[in-house]
Amino acid sequence: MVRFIARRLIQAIPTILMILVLSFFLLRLAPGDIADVMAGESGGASEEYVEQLRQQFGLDRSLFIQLATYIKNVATFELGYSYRQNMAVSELILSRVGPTVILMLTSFAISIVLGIVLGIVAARNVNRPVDRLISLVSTLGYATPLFWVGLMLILIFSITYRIFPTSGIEDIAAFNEGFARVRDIAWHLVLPAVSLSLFYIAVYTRLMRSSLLEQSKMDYVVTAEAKGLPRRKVVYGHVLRNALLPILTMAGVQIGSMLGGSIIIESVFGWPGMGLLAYEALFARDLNLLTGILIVSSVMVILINVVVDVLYAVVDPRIHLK
Amino acid sequence: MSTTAERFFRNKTAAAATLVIGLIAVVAVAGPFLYPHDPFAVLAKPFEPPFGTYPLGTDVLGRDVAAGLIYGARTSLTIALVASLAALLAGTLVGAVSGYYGGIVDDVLMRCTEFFQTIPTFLFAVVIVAVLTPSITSIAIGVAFVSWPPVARLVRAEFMSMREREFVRAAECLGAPDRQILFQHILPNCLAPIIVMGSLMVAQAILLESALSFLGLSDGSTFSWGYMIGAGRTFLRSAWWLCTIPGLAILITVLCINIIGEALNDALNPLLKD
Repeated sequence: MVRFIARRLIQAIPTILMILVLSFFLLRLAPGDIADVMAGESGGASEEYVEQLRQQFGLDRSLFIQLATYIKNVATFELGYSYRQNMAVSELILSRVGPTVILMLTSFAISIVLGIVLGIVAARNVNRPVDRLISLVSTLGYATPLFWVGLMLILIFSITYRIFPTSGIEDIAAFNEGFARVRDIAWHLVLPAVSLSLFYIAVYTRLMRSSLLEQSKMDYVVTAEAKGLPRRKVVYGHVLRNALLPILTMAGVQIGSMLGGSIIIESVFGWPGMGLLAYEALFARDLNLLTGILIVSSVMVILINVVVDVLYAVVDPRIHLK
Repeated sequence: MSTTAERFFRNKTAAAATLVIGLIAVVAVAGPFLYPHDPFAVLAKPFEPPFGTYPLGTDVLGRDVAAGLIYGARTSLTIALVASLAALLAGTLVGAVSGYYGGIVDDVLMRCTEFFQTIPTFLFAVVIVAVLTPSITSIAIGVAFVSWPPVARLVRAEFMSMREREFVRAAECLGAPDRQILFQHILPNCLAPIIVMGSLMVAQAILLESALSFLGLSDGSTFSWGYMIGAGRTFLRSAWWLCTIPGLAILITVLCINIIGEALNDALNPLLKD
């Protein structure tokens, strides 16, 4: 088990290196280097000053050395400096990880639980009105822009009916502590989490339905029924367990897309996580910060996928941990 | 045996969706002639509600929302089509080479593909557009750049299953050049799934493009549906229609394209349908 995890982690290293190389070149693609930008901001600096800045940031060295320095820095979690926010990029990102994790975990839980339940209901009522209704709703879920759902929920539940707050993570003026604070945050979480979940509920519902239908045609189902097992036991003991495997795979695939979705949802709801930070970085054209967020989230996705692989092996005894 | 088109149009929902998409396409192409109002022109008081003098109301500057919507259809659809086409071409090329040659070429190309699938798609697109400075072109590049990996994997699987077939072996024995085998012999035989994926990709591209423009990643000189929603969100409280209407346009378009894509899948693979 430990060796399996270790091996998967080692396999992740080249991918992470490639992400660093990619972000290094992305940063270089941007017109003008940081020396130009800083010189421009201080208002028409002299050639000498720009040269001095270039030397200071090592921009006069060869491309390869710059790349090596960059990788070395990132490896020690030195993601550069955000000149707009006057703070180290790594510090900025760390301070914003918490809210994003809360939002994503909640949306993930909502979408996977509802998706599985709706998928089971649909599969057990194939081609009946319930199934058709669920399929209609999930088709709609597939086609709705995330940010628009968020805005419409604000329009209905915050502006018209004043049930939920429009934005933020907590009521700053209330100075809540302890349980009251948790409740306040949960209250603020409802709309963003629901908006972020809708698309994924549709994804998991569909997958669960088709996976259940596919599994129920398998030979082991006939065997189980021939043994005289009650229908419930066949479905929930045998079919469901096998049908859940594709859901797990999909969860690993979708986690990256959910992280992207959180940029949109956080910027709609002013939820102070990494997504909102990326949005702010976008407006300030703070590319250091933006690529820093890209690196951190890619690494997060890679780590989550290692976890998914381990879980997969735990759930499916046919895959051996070697 | 019925033709693909017959099977497709027997599906009433798909026929209706095709009609709607046809109408949207006509509006996008001929809109400025059918509804000759300049989306940038300040015509009236700001925040005129819909169904008054102006069918869909006016925005914060008193510009006609309906004209913006028509103009936006053109931008959104063009970007989505161009980006999808580029991603489809790139993905097909990578997948074809990878699937046909196998071995180390396949290893390297597939590692690359997996790598691009690991990076959070939307965030990657945002960074690409931001780095290239926001414009219609950079949005199309960003969308295309994050959309090709699934195509490559699909095409690779198709080519791998075709590689050992007799007609491919025969062409090889006849000394046909690789280019001809790949694109004249194998490719036509895997067009069906590529077409289906392509149509679904246009829908995804519209969603992606709208999200990027919503975040303000456009040069501001063009209207697109996402941009309209992004510009209108500040006035959600006082002018609901500024966000609601373009959002409905996106929803309807994407929904119809998805329905068409699925119906195409059923029509092209009649045996798969249970």
